[in-house]
Amino acid sequence: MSDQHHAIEFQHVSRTFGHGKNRIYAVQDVSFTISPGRVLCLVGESGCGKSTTGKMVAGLLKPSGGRILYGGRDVATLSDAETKYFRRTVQIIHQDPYASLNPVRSVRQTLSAPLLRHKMVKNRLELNNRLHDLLMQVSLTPPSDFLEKYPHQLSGGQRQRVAIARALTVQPEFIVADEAVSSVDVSLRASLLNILLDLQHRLGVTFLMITHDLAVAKYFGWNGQIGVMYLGRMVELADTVKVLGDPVHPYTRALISSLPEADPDKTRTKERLELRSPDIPSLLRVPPGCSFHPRCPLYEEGLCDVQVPPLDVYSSDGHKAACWVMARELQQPRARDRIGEQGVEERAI
Amino acid sequence: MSIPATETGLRETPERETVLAVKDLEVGYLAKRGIVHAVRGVTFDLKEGETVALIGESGSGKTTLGLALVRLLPGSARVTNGEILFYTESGEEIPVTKLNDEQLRRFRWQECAMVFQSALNALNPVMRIRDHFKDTWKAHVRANGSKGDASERNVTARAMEALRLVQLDAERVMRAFPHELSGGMRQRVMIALGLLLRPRVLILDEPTTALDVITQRAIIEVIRDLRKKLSFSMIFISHDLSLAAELADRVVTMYAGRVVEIADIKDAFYHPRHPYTVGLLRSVPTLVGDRQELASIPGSPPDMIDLPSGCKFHPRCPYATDKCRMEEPPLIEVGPGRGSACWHWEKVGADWEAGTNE
Repeated sequence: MSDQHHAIEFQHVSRTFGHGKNRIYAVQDVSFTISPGRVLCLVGESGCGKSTTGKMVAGLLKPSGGRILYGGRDVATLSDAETKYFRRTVQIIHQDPYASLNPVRSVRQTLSAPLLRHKMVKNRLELNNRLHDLLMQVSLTPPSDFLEKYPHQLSGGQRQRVAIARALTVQPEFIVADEAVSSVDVSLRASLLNILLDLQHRLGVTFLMITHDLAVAKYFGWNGQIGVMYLGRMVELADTVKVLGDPVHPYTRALISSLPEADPDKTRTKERLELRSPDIPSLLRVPPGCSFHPRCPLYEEGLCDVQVPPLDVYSSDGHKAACWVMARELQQPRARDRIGEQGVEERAI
Repeated sequence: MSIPATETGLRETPERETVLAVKDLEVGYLAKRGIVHAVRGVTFDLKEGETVALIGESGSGKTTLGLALVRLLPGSARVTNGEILFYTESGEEIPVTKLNDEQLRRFRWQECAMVFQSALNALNPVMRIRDHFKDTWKAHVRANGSKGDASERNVTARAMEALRLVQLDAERVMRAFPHELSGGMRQRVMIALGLLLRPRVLILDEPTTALDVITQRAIIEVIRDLRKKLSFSMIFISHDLSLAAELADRVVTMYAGRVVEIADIKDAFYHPRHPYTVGLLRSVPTLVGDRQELASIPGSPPDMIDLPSGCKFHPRCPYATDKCRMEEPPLIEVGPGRGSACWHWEKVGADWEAGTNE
């Protein structure tokens, strides 16, 4: 698996759940790539398909359509040996450390299992050293205080550190972090983010960071990309600086303008983008055409409610967005003026 | 210069009437390992029309404090010291900690209502929204026959009005079951329920936690709009600094069951005087502006049964000295109407202002 390939590539991937009239598309026609050592942050509201995407990347769910390439090879057709390699090098950190750690296993047992399974240590001494290293890496010090503890004896922040340490046991090349810091208190969140960032910088680990918090995406993925998802589709994909500094899709703009900031002057004077409806439609009744059209301030009848806009309908200098209006007006800046009237001149950056 | 705070807390601002005064409140939970000191000597007050944010991380005692204000603490909790005084519009003083059941029933919802965390669990899944309103009315009005006419039509009219105030389609929502409503709608129903009897004080516990960004924005705007239309005072409890930045007039920061800093909104965010507040501010990522390095507060929150000696923040504090390890600082008046429970608040402030805070 050479470096010429993308670490992961999604080609028109879909995933459905349920049957018949209860079938929903949790993820529909999503394509993206992440280069080795880079970061992609997926953002969006609950039900947008970001976690389903993450699970497919980690191999925990199979796509219903499309192809997922890992290091240039289709994940669905890997040989047994390759599957084992894939399983070892791609790790996922789940959102809720209360649910993701086995309550009857001590920290030592939790962390030893993958090391033994993948035969990454030769003897007990090596195992102990490795366990100590791992706990040091996630700042659970001194390690001897934590090795024999069970999850119920740990705080939420400590559990999440154990979950991170578990992902690191097998020296992964790719980590999917699914809301890995959301459930942790603010004073501890920064340290977890910094631990993960350090892995990325020091070991060149590739990251798919899934978060509902754009500020976390900004902090973690500053040099990477942000993908914005809405009702199972990717609606905007570009470098983090571009998405936050010059958002194209009205949904991205709404997210940015809605987010409260920990700065009273800025947050109270921040301009808002008013949506036509605050509620997300059900995945069982996805609106026709652009699924955002019932809420979109740029909505134009006959244009937006007919056909689904592909992600690259707006494409400018690597900045892609699935919006018919913005695509049409890429050359003529009328649509931007219309948003400007609504007052989203003050951009995030 | 540093004068220890008096029993009533900080300097009174004479223009606004006090509606709620908490004095030296202590609440503990009985647990197998010992007593959990959830609230330890909390003193603060709430003025008429004011919004106070109680900010703290999990285990800081903020929810326990909120529950104590309406006497809804679970059976394992004991108020071991202090008092809560509530002042009605006519100026009558209600000692909340001493009320009997009947007086409590009248006090709750008519004077002081609470919107609970997690609107999904707070509504009864087998009752229509209409019946939630009727129940609330029955429990807090008809039982003692004090306020208003309890006829069905009157209840419905008041409920519809409350639902319209939170920008819901009142007709439809009244007929609906909780599961038919989205998370944001449920949260608005909870706020409407809280406001049904037009209380003087509304307490909101984590009002937007677990809601999506755009829904959260809608709730913030609803609360802001209500504050303009109705003049009630508000206490909201949150771990989210940005919510305080949006809505609060004053910020009360709690750590290990104690108030560590009280300041008006601008001072709290731009001129903090407690190392914990400084630490919180420096650990929150922002969307506006360039990317800034985040620094987390080292260590983890203390064990509430076996608390550290002296200042409870000292094991995590870069300013800690021997004095901090020995003696717990009181809430020291550090400016007009503001306090910080830190022996080294002057140095903390100077470092912050110089931008060289550690």
